Amino acid sequence: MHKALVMALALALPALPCAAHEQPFGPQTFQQLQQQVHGPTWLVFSATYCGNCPAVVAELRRQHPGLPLWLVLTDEGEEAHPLPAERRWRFEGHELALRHAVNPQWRGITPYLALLRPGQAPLFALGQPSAAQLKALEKARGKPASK
Amino acid sequence: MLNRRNALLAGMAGLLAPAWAQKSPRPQLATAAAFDPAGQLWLAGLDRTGQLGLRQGIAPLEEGQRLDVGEDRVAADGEATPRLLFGADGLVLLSYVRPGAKPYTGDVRLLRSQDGGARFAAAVTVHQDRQPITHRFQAMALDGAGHLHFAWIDKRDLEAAKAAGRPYRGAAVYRNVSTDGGASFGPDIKLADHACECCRIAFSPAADGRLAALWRHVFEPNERDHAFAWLDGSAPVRASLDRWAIDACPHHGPGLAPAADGGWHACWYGQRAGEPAVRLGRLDAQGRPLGSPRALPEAEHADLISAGGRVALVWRQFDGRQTRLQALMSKDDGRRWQALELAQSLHPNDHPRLLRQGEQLWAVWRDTQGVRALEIHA
Repeated sequence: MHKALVMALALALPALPCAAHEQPFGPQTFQQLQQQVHGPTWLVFSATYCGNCPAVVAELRRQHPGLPLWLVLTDEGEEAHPLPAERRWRFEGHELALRHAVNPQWRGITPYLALLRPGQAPLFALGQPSAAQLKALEKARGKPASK
Repeated sequence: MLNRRNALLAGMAGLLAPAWAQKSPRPQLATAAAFDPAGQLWLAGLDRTGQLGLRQGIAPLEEGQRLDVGEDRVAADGEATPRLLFGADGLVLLSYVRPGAKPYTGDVRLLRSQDGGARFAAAVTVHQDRQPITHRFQAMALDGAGHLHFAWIDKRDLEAAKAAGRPYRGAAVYRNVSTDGGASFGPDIKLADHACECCRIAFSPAADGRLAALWRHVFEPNERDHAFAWLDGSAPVRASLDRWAIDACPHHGPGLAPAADGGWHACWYGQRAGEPAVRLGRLDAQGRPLGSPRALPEAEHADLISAGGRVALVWRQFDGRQTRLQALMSKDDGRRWQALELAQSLHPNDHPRLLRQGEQLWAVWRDTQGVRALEIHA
């Protein structure tokens, strides 16, 4: 009940990229997020000591303006410069199980980019968008995006 | 196969997981392990309250000695691991990274005891550089002459390049040497430019007592392979040829162990022709790759240890329900390998820490329930 209330409040918040409320990312979160998207959405897995992540997020914002970008931090700690994201989560609990719930092939490399699409399987890439992700975005152009 | 009679399976920290194991913040499980000169196993790491603890044996760290680190915070997660070392005449050395006030920053700190660990002097910073920048992922070892060596990931050159408006790949590896058991240190010496920023460094002794290092390197333009160097000023050489071109943090450092024939066994994580895997390979005596490495696609956070012709590769593997601690063991310097499963865990867990005690090879593995010390037998 309490969790549902928190979730409802979080969803009601306006999209403020840098000030987004941080929520726990648990074993079911990834599956839930896939059901919440209304259009292509970047879900970026980062770490506070990932030196490459800020530039990748900035480039995603530049290359894909208007596409929602959600962020998941996989470690504890403070970000050097909070990455701009409409929604934010942080791993809570068993890291290996959380990673496995996202993609069993993911070994924790960051940034890890999931392109969420309504009704379709997510597309994954390491470091920068893959050709498959870009092709999917091209195909989906013009359709409504998540907020 | 694993000799379970010799496996020390005690040390489970109670039947119920402590609260910190169940909820955020994520447990800081990275634990240092070392044998003392009498052959006793010691552990150092953060206990459930976040205090740095040291103890003999594998019972809970809370029941050991709490170390005074002053105002220091201690990093102990994943690749950021405290390091523990025993020397001659009661010398005990425990190093850790103190995260700085600003993210990405930190200093390598050292606690030093001269009475077998009964008392420690106040922590000191190991490097000369005092800028509030990255000095992290330290490696620490004694060479055959008893000199203490450190190496760490250091961003002073990156920061200087940024200030000058020049590009710079990755970070640097710096090192220093103490000839008095850590009482004082020589100058910071650059081992290499362009190391990966977020992976541990492997140290390993050669048969002649010299030390060598292996680390993830960023070769031009952005290939995150590995480099090898002796800690004597010789130039680094490329030690892996995956040609994994990526601008990302693998958070996976390599492992290095001497081969009986004078070369090296090495393991690392990377992508080769699009295939991600932990790879087990051979290097020649100068650290150059030999032959084709063996790929282990399901493995992560592997490490290597050897004693003569006996070699063990140990890694974690998660199957969706539990983590399995797996091993490959060779008795003939890597010509033939036998697969072993050393342990399983349903709980958050540390990377395996490998130790040699005489001719014995050990894996120490901590999860939120306790610590296991497992002798590895083929």
